[in-house]
Amino acid sequence: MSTAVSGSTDAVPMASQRRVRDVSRLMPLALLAPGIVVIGLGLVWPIAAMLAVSLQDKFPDATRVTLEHYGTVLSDPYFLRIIGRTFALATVVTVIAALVGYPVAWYLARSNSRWKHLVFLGVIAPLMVSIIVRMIGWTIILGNEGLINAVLRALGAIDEPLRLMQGFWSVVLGLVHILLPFMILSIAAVLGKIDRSYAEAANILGANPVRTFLSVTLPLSVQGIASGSVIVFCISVGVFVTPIMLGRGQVAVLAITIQEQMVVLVDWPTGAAAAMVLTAGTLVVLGLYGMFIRRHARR
Amino acid sequence: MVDQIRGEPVGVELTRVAKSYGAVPAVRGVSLAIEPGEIVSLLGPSGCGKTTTLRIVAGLERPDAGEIRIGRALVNTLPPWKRNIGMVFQSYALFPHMTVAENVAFGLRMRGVAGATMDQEVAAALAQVRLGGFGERRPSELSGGQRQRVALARAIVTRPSVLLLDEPLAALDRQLRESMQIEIREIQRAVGITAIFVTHDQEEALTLSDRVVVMEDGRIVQSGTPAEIYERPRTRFVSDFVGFSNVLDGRVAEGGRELGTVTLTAGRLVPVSLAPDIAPGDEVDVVVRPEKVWVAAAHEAVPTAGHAFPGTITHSVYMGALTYHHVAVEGVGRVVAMVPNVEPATSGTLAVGSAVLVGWRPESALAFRRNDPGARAAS
Repeated sequence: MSTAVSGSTDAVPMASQRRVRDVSRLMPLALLAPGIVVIGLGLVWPIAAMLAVSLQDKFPDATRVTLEHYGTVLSDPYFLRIIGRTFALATVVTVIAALVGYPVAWYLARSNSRWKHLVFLGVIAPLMVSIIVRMIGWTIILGNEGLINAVLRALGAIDEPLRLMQGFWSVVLGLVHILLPFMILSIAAVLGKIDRSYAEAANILGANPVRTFLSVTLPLSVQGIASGSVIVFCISVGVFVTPIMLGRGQVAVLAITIQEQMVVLVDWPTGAAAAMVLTAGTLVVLGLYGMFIRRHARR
Repeated sequence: MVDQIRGEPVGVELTRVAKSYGAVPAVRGVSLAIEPGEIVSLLGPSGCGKTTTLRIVAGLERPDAGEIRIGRALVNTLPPWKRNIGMVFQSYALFPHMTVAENVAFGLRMRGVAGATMDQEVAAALAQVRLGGFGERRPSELSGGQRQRVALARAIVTRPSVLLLDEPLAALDRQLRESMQIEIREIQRAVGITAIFVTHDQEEALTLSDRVVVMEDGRIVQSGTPAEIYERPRTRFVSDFVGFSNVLDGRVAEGGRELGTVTLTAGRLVPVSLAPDIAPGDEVDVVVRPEKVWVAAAHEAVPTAGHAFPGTITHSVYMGALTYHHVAVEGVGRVVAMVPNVEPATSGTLAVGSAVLVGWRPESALAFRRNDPGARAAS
């Protein structure tokens, strides 16, 4: 950190030099401080507090430390179903976002079309609109009196409205819509950096475009898919608003349950234990990602 | 379809090939016939269309006009993966997610070669480029020269009809470049493959090719053996591009036959070699290569019959094997002469300030009409 002055071998360092050294030592700390404070106050402290609450037999007025709430969360079929659904939802959303996002990312990274900038704008535009507004938009399209049902009814295809709005898949649809930009931008960033001569070399060695994609371009862009997936997965696993609005209360996920436990049932320790399970699940995914990146970087 | 006969070199023929990028023409009507087994270099400055021409042969670019034949087959619409070509890219383009062996095996796998046969051919190709035992490494673990050799092994392991090399040695340091030049040449001969390579380095083109094709502004300006290109450049551009020359401006005094004389602007009459279409009175640039200029101490005998001009050495650049003497010649100007250091340069007969005689054979001085890149020297 203080390499600028550490090379000085003067027997008697002058006062001004010492001052320079002090400043150069403090500078990184000063720059890092705001980030450390935000992360500390916004992440570490609440998680630590939540961990403490989850280990108390009741809250407030704890009498002993116990793991019984974890036992409840990890054995009660009600909780297990919700945990399963939460991670399934995040997995499905991630996979679909990757499949849908890859071609768009490809287009953004490789096309020379003059429409490219419009497509890019289209990709990031949803990020500029509040989630609530977007969810209401989906309600207008998917609802019993919504666009799709109205069209189908006008065409005489259906008599009763299709119940598009209350299932797992309408939540998946909403989440893919919200999170797709993260996936697309992650993949496009990596695709854009891949030298085209790799694909050309594969072509010349006899690989048609499909084989070239599968054996060269896709493996080289897997890092973009991985980082996009981590973002999408970690956000999906903790969603709250979307399942409420598009699931019409039928799609209970961990975040909703945690809120119910704490606010409705006023059972803070169980809610906190559920929250810790959610956090642990996310950390496992992040850990796998870290391992993947380390293996990848060795190449 | 491309001739798939393994190990049998085929010719490549381009007929009036043209390609533009938008409104910018890159190649304007290139016609070139390459014999089976020949190694041809496309030489020119950047933007002359040499790389585009190579990419058209590879199938990586579609020509706007013209015909490309590999063997007897017209390949204009054949995609690269059906052309049976080998190519070494400037950046090598080794797949970073594969080992060296996997890189070399890639083309074989695409051709359905697998198992023990594949392993054998990969090992043989790696042995040919002296990289036996490097199969399990990643490209990132290799040096520049080693990567270059892997790229070469990958390109030849499939026994392609034609080997294309795009500035294959540009990324290597000088010493490595020289040994790789020899190595590429030897492998090309051993495999007996037709090869086209692109370079902007005249030395590389002269060393490595049976034939040098000099390109300028999307066109071929001269095609010939390295010696023809160097000794008998057809235009001033070719002359400048394939090596340093003394340039003296003047006006033709006596012409109409192969050898003539030029009155230099500085005053003297010098003997030159003239193209048939250069007439007395034409403004010309006389171009003489430094190694064609002899220098002798003023008191020594003149080495060859002909003209000898008195001058003074103003400056010498010692290069080890040879020395460049800059000589101020009255009525001519400054002439650079290259002298091999047959005797120790320290013996000092040609020291700075000494009076000398310089001269050249008339056929070594080529007169090109000034401001006319199409001017022809005698041939």
